[in-house]
Parts: sequence; structure tokens; C-alpha cells
Amino acid sequence: MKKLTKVMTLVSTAALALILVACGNSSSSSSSDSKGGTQTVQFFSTKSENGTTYKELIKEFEKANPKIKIEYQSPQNQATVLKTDLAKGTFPDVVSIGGDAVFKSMQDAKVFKDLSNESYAKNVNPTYKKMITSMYSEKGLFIMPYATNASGIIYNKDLFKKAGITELPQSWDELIAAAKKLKAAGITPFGSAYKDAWTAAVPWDQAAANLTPANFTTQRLDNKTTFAKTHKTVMQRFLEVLQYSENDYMGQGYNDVNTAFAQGKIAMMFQGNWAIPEITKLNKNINLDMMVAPWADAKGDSKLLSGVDVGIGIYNKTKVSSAANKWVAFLFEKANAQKYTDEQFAFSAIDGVTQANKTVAGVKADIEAGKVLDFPDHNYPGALDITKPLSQAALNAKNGMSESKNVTESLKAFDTAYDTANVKN
Amino acid sequence: MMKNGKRKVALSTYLAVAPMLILFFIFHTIPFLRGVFYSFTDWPGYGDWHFVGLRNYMYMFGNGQIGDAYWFTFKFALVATILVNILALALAVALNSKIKFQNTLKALYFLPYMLGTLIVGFIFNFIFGQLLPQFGQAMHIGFLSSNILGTTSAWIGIIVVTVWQGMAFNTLIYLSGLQSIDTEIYEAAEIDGTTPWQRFWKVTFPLIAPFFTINLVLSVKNYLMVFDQIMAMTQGGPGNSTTSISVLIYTQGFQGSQFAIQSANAVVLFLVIGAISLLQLSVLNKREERLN
Repeated sequence: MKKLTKVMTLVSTAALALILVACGNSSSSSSSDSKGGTQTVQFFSTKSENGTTYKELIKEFEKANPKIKIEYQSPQNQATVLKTDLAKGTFPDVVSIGGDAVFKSMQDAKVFKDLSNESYAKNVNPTYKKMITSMYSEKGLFIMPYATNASGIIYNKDLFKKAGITELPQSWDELIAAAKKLKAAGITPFGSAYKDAWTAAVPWDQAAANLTPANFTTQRLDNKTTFAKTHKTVMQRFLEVLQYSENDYMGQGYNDVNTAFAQGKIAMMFQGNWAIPEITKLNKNINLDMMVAPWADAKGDSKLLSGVDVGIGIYNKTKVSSAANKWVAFLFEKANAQKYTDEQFAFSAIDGVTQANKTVAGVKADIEAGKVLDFPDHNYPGALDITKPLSQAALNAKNGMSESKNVTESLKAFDTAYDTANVKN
Repeated sequence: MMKNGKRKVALSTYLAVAPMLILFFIFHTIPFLRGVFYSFTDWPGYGDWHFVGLRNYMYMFGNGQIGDAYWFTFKFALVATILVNILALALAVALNSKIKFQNTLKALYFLPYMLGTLIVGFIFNFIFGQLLPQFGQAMHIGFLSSNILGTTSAWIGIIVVTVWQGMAFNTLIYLSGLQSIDTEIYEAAEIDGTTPWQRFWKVTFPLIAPFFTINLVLSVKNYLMVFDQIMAMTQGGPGNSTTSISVLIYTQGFQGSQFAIQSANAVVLFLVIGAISLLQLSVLNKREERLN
């Protein structure tokens, strides 16, 4: 027995020692420091679509700055990866992130450096700066708007001509009429990619922003109203789109629909300009353009949705802050911002950088005139996943549920999900 | 060396086990204990937190989403366990009989298990989304013409993939069980004039009782924790119809920043699986004793 206790003591002491070492080891893996003079800057992007452009810019930057290496990261489920990083107590040095709910939760953790006095701040459009600062209460600008987006309808100009549509629809009834014309010509009017449930949020946001009062989101946070009371038309029209979508809209995902669109099988998609590079890389000769999605009853009343698609932020505890800042300043140089804008069919938040590509010509004027609305889901509670009730609503429609029953049930599910998520953690 | 009828365990045994024990403790037990700790707080995964006692657990009981996830997971685990074990046992009996290329076949049937579950999920995603519908459309078979993962029957797609891949491991265990049976017993049974079916039920099945126990307990535990296949194929959709408990813990805990609430969910899941496994073991061990 004596030997047993001796061994157990030995084993447990060793174990304890190892535990202390393991637990005492806090967030150190942020970024490696100078290894023979080279500094590595971790650059994380929450969008996979802009990877090619970023990688090209990285190559140019590394050539001009041989002592700095940029480590590009953009895994799957980027938002979740960032949150797990936070849980570990680390964060990438520089982040390319949307001005959305993900950014909001990062900002709650106060990981970003205030960039309002940086050299590149003065060239950025104040409207988009305001979109960012209005998302939190602290003073300062914690991500610098880089690229903005436009959410509307991407359409195939050749297919429109083929179906005999000569004027772009400017009201909901005109849009449905156009859809009927396309269907009659044997063309699938809309491409819905609801296997990837996030795509359902695109038409929903557009419809909600255009058809409900602007103060809804703040009122709903205080439980002063409900979706059931205010979003009936929104849900009705969201479901009506399905009647003119491809047959297997629940089983086709983002890539499937983009491929079908690139192959000229689908005429319209409720999407944003972020999807355009995905289509053109499959078919660079496709003749497409963007237009405002006409959700409203009256002609010309509908507006585009636009927000900060990409903002650049710097980790306030980064160990390579001067290298990180150099990289960010490089991104904001006019020539580089123009390259991003051109290759990504984006709009720039930087004054003087314009978007001349014909694939977004239809919405360029609205963006430049500021005739845009913000995305409502930026103001929903962070734990609310609207893609779940939306996906269920679409599934109900596929299973043949009557429209009125579906609308009532789905809005009720929406309110339930909202209330569940609106709980203080 | 025998001392008071107890076997003396050499020091080297303890030292051999120690490294694994330490690693297990650091990477499994400690995070687990921390998770239990955080389930009593309101930590969103980063930043400040406070103690909230049993609030997260009370929240769980009122949350329909969590209830639905438990219901779906139990149904899934039941169906998957039954299917996997019936098919694995049948396959093991077949592979154990005198057939040609026995070893090659055994290797082939084990292949699915060697592939990563996520990779298999992604490949089947493509099969269900593109290959099968194209085949169904060409042959004018109605129910095959669309992606099953986008329908209310999406869970069937997940079951197919889970069973296809999980079968191999259970087959292996049943095979080793079958091979442990003395062939003389079969010869004696044949002489007595029994049918193959009777031989299976009265001779084979009781004799592999311990292996049946292991397989059942492991299956139920694995399928109550189903995650990889669902994340690769439906991400819990359409709607919430294939959201298992693990998927819910992951999406709401990280994406939804409900880290503390989902930690409570994870603790409850652990208690549920622990209780079910212990129950199974006691029932099945009694059965083993009875048969012996």
C-alpha cells in the first residue's frame, strides 16, 4: 500500500504542475513577433468572395515591405471562428469584417482600436462612418468603412429581352407581371437558394426595410410591437417569390443557384453585389445588371439596401501594431481601393473611388445619391437567427401549406424566436 | 505475486498509464469542469460575466427550441441505433461465413469508417443535391427529383449517411464476437437438427451478448451526440428540423453568443447520456449474467 500512495503522490503532483502551467498560459498566440526581423500580421476576412483580391494586394504589399508577412485567413463559418477566437482570448491582428451583427458582438467585447485619427480616416465617406458609429455607444470609430454593398435584384439582361420585358419593373405588381412573362417564355424567373438558409435573409431584409416603419426594430426591442402586427405583407411577398422560383428551392444552395444563373437558366436573384464576382468567375460573358427590388406598391417608391460590406479593424492588443497599421494604410491607398472596387463589383466608402462597371450601373446612381436604406437585421438581437423561421416558412410553402396559414404561423414563429433571443444572457 | 488474493500491480503499470491520464485530465476533464462552472454564469464567451445560479437551467425548460432539439435527437438516436445494429449484425454474420475473398470484403466494408465524417457529409451533400436529382429527373422518378436534404424528410438523408458510415465499426465488434464462438457448438446444433435461424437466435445471439452490450451503449451515446453529418449536410435545416442538441449548442453557443446557456445545455446532455448509458449497462449486464 505504501508504494501505491507514493506513486499516486508522484502522479498527482506531476498532474497538478502540468495543470498550473496549462491554465496559467493565457492569450499569447495572437501573432508571432520578429523572427529574424520579419513580422507576421494575421489578416482575417469574414467573406470568402474577396479572397482573390486580397491575396493579390498582399503579394504587392509584401514585395514593397519585405520585412512584413501577411497571413491571410478566411475559413468556413467565419463569424463563429472569430467568436471562438474571442472565447480563447485571442484575436487576429487585422480584420476585414462587415458592419453587421457580427461586428456588433465583437465590439461588445471591445477588441478594436479606435481608428478615427488615422491618416486614412479623412478620405472615407462620413455617411458610412456614421452607419458604423451608430451601432455602439462608445466614442470612436472602431472599424474603417472600406467597401459598401448594394442589395437588390441581380438580373440577366439577355433573358429579359428574350421574354419581351422592355421596361424594368418599378412596383411589386410590375415585378410579378415580369415574372409571369418569363415563366411563359420557359425561363425560371427567380433563383432561390434556401438550402443555404442565409440567402433567405436577403429578400426578407429588403422587403422589411421597404414595407415597415423605420422605427420598428427599436420598438420591437422594447416589446412595443410584434412581427405579427406589422410584417404581414412582408411575409406574403416573401412567399410569393417562391411561386416563381425554381422547383427545388429548398434543396439548392448559393453555389447551385449562382451556377444556374451563370448558365443562363435563371433570370433574377434577390442578392447583393457581393454575389456578382461568384457569377462572373463562372461565366465572364454574362450580361447582367442590378436593379432596385420593387417591393413597394407604388412605382419608384422602393429603395436599395446598402451597408458597410467591408470595414477594416485592428485588434487593440496586437503585438505588431505598426506593421498592421502599414497594411491597413496600404489597403486604403486610392489605387488599391480602386482595385478592390473593380474586382469585387463593390462600391467604395472612400471618396473619389468610383464604380464604373456595367454590372452595377443600374444602382450606381442611387448609391451615390444616398437613396438607400440600412439592413434591418443589423438591429435584431445577436442571438436571433432569422434564417430558421424563414427556412421553415419556405418549407411550409413547399409542403403545400395554404398561404394565409403559413403567413400567420411563420410570423408567430418569428415573434417566438425573437423573444427567445431577446433575453439578457 | 499474490498478496491476500489481490493482484499486485507493478509500478511500471501506473507509469505507463500516467501520461494518458494527465493528458486526458488536462484536455478533457478540466475543460469539462470549466464548462460546468460557466453554466452557472452569464458569460457570452468573451468579456465580463456574473454568477446567475440555476437561471440558465430554468431558461432551458421554457425554451421550445431546446425541447425540439432533444426530441429530434432521441428519435434520431433510436432509429440510427436500431438500423446500424441490425445491419451490422447481419453483415458480420455474412462476413463470418465461408465466402470467397473474405478478407478483401472485410476491408472494403470497413472503408467508409476510415473517411472523415465531415468529408463523407460533404460528398453526400453533392450526391443528394446534384447526382440523385439529375438521375431522378432523367428516370422520371418523382421523389428523387429534388434534394432530399431540402425537404421534411431531410433527417432520412442524414440517417442514410450516418448508418452507412457507422455500420463498419459495429460490424467489426460483432465479427470479433462471432469469431470467439467455438465452431463445435454449431456442429452440435446442426446434428441436433436445428434450422439456421434457430441456430442464430438460440446459439449465436446469446453467446455474443457482451459484444451486443458494447455496441448498443456506444451507438446510443454516439447518435445522441450527432453533429458532423448534420453540419456538413443541412446545418440543422430546413428550419430547425434536423437540429440535434450538439448542433444547437454549437450554433447558439458560438454564433448566437449564448455561451453560458448552451453550457448548461451541454451539462444536461452529459447527464442524460450518462444516465441512459448506465441504465443500458445495468439492464444488459443482467441479461449477460442470465445467459451465462
